[in-house]
Amino acid sequence: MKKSILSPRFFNRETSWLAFNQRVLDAGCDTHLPLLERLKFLAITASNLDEFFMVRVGGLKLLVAGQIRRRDLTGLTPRQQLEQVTRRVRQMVAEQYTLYRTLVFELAVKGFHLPESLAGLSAEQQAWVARDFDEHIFPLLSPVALAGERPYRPAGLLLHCAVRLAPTQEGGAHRFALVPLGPLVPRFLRAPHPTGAVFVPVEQLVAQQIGRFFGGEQVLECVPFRMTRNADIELREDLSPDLLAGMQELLEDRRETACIRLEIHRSASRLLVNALASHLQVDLSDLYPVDGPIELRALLPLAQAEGFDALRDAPWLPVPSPAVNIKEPLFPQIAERDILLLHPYEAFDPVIRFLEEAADDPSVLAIKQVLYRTARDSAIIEALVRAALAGKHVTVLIELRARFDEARNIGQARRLEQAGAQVVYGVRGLKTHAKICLVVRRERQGIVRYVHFGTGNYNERTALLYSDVGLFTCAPDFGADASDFFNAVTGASEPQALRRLAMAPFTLRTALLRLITDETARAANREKAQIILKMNALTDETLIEALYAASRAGVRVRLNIRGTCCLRPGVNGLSEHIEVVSIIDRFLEHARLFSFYNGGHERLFISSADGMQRNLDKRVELMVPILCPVARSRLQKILKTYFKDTVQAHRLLPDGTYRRCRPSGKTPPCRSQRVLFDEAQTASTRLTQTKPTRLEPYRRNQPLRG
Amino acid sequence: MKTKNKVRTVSKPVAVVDIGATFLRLTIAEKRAGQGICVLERAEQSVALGRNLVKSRRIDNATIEQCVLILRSFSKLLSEFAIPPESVKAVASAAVRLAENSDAFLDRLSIASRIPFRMLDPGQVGYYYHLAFRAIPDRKAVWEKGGVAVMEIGGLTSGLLYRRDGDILFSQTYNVGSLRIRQQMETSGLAPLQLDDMVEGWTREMALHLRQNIAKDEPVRLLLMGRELRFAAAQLRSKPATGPAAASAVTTLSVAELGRLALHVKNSSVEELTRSWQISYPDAEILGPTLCMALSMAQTLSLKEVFVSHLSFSDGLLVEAVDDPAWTTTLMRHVVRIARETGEKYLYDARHAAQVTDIALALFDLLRSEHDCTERHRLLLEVAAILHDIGVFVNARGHHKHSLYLIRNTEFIGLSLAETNLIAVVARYHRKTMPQLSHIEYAGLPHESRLIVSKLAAILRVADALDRVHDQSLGRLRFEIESDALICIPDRRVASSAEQVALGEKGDLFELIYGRRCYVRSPR
Repeated sequence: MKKSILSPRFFNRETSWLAFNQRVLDAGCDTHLPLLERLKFLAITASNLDEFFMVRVGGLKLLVAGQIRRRDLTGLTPRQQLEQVTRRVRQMVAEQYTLYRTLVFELAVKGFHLPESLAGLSAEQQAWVARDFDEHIFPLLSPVALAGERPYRPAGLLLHCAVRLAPTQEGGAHRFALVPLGPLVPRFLRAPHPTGAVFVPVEQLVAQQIGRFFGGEQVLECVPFRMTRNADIELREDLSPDLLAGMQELLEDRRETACIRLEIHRSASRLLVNALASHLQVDLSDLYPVDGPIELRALLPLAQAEGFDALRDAPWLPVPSPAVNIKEPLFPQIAERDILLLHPYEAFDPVIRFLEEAADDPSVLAIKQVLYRTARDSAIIEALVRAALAGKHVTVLIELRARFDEARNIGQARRLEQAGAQVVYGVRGLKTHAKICLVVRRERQGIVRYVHFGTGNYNERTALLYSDVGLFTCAPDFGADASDFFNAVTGASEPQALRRLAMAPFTLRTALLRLITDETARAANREKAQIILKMNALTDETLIEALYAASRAGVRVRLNIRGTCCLRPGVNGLSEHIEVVSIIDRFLEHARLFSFYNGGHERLFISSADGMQRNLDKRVELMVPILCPVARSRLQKILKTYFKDTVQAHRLLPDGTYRRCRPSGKTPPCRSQRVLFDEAQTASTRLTQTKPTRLEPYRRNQPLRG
Repeated sequence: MKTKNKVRTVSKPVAVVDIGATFLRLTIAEKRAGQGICVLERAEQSVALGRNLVKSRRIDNATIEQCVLILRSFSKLLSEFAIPPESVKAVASAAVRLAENSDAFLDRLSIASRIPFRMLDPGQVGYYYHLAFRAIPDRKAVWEKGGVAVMEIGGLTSGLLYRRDGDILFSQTYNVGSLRIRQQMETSGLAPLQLDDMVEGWTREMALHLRQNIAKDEPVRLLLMGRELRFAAAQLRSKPATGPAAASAVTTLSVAELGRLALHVKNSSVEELTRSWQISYPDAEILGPTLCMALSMAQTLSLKEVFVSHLSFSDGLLVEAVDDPAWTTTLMRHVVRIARETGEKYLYDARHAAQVTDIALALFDLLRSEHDCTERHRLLLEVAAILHDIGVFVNARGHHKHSLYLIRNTEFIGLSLAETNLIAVVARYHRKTMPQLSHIEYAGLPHESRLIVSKLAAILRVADALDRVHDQSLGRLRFEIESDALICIPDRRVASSAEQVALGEKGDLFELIYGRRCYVRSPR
């Protein structure tokens, strides 16, 4: 008891995030999983870490450089945090490469070869890849001198080969050059192998062929490396009158920001490392020598390589939701009742159809949509463009500052504008993260508004991998709130008091806190009280303190936090009624779902917001109550399933570590994603079995559907 | 083509825009069978109009251009519902009226947005608040029974009206408002806690007027209107005061809790309020004075609780916009009611007034094809007939001139100042000299109004002559029109010589305007 009160009330945010990445890495170590699934998890940890470096480590570095000593929730200064993070990251990188080598070995047994060097290849294979290199890669490469009149600035996260050339005359200095392996250069070259296939890292071929670029010169070494630049630079809105232009500048700037990590193959000579470090102005403490291929995230496409299905789980393909009849138009179905969709178990198609039907529907007056991250060839954008061209009033708020998607969003904003849509590039000082789409339709009885709310982005690609919830409704209060929301974010109006929705940065925080304190009051009154929150991260101090207070009053608090969690559960006198679990499985848990027992009249919400200060104060977010009985019981069931997981769930312990849940002897194991997948399959199968009862010929003037 | 026809079966959405002292607001709505008015879109932005006015009595260019920008963003919403800007009902309320450059301001807005703006007179503002009650589906239930004082606290002016059983008995606008009070406090360097003293003088005056105008000991309920008060009610109740359920209702607040909130607001800086309640700066500035006025009024009337209406001025505008035809009859009822209440206040001869009114309206209707006046003019004549003699309250000698003054300074809810003035001038000419350009009140009228005055006053003079002795003994009258004469035929007795003489004298204007001499014929 005494000990727990002395220990800090919170976990450090970065450490908690690293623990999350560790859980993903642990999934890669899970020998029950097929090998390529494990390779995928490894690649994901690497990709996560890249982003973590750019944003979080980058941010800490800026704080340290600015001599800012503001302490975090746990009382650590930025410098202390940075040291802690670096130590942990180095350990993690070592574990990543250990896992990599294990997987390489085990994959080779199954005919999936990732050679350490070209020496291991047969002459035939060598010839194969050399031909490939000549034809497709060699023309794309052009070396640049490291030093010179116009010094070359390597782009962040782009693989390069660093070359050291012998001095031209005796006693002269070594010369250095770089070969950027641009985005068009494939990372691995595939060649046949008697037992399967071999995937040759392109840098090995570059190293082998490097002499061809430097005719007659002596190449002493050719080593792959990659640098990471600080991405935690925010747009200075006050200096940039045009946000679009400002964003482009920001992207240019990001090419130029300080290098915060230099990964280079261990084989590099000290001479080469020093030359690189001084040219790129990298502190040697930010040097990460690696023993294996650089950029493990490049393994992600390999995990999908053709012909190795036996090394992968059978795909879980989305099925049509039984709540949507694909043979009928969508609007009347929504008018009948609210429709709740659970992606990716249920297909994302209805969301795209919603927009496509709106685009073609003569009764539709206006379409309004917020876009945060969209897919590359987004069907959503296509539908919006079509609607705008068809003369609908299309308003799109496209968040230009969605990190790492800025470039794509700029391009799409331009396309929409050219089609005649009204495009808003976000809200000054806030990122618009809410997931909402509104269709205004004129019907016989008057204007009807159809709204889609989601917990995930309007991105049909990530909708295949992220687990999210969406809601279609045309309930008047929701429609009116949606209109008010769009009027507020497009600047037509100041924010109005909303009827049903809570909106950050205005009312969401207070609403959430009030819901928590209401439960607390009930518990203090000896009523049954329970709070269930499922979100991606929980770091906001006020929110955590409110949950502590709830726990102390006796509220049962069940948290499903996929990633960072600064709340310390299970501490006597502080949080003994709080449990925290995290699920790491095939799909990325992404839905934000909240439930409050409310004396038996449960209050249920879906939201775009996590429990982070940035979501509650610095972003435009929405929290949407679920009122329709069918949708409510579905959502309650989904939430319950998450807390039954005894296979892929990890429980957060009071000391900050996570322990993987194990099925107890009595109850059969429960893997929540499997359960949700099976349920979706069953419901869909039942639907297809009951559907075709007669044959219906198409007649003239009848729309073709289904 | 097919779809277009289908679309037409649905009622068309309408839009209203109103400019207040601190905001510019757009509301788009449609009327649905069985559901009443459904709001489709609301957009509101704060503007520093009131601030401008208390400082310099002018709306500065920056504010004008800000309003233009806001209207442009509104026009996007209008186009979504295919509402042409020309059809938008747009009004500027009391605040704009006070600006020296109000015409230029409204012209600029109208030209830039193609939305035709008109300025409302004080009495008209109250009328829209009153009209807003019709937006309540089950209004019969609570607010149409018994008496209720409706108080609207604006930025520069405030309105007080009294309704009994759905009729307006009294309506008055005061040149006091939250912004004005704020400004006075700032210029005289008063501490926030001295706000109460500032406010009390005004509310005492209002309460006094109210008591003077309603029956003694009549219990008063106080219904507060205005967006700051709606906001305050929402703060005190967990649920926001919006939504279709809320629109039909009011929030009941105890005076004690209103007092606590007022105290909290008084003790908070504007910055604290904007931060903690996420309201705009202009709104935060006037919240304190508004609450104090409401509180002070409640205390002066010795109330335990007050009601805050969720309705707004724009609801009244919407009722008018979707319901135009019904509007005229309601308006007439209220104006006539106020005229009678006013008459009573000045101890008028109600029977004489009624007799003159009956005769005047009968003549008006008979001569429709000749005078070419509208229903609206008929209403003005009716009011003039009811009130023509109230000047006697001041002095019987020259009482027509006293009538002129008293009517001019009476607020007829729903009527513009120009219309009130017209009534006053018509009443003034019920006796003595005919209208002439040496009379300043007549000469000041535009040409068309002068014509109306002559047409109506001619009728009023004849009607008054026919009840010369104020005994209604001629009973009901019939009229016959001949090419050069108007024959009045009473149904009870022969006209006395007094009536004959009076008709001879007062028929002068009638003869001039309508080209007919007036005679009284004996009843059969």
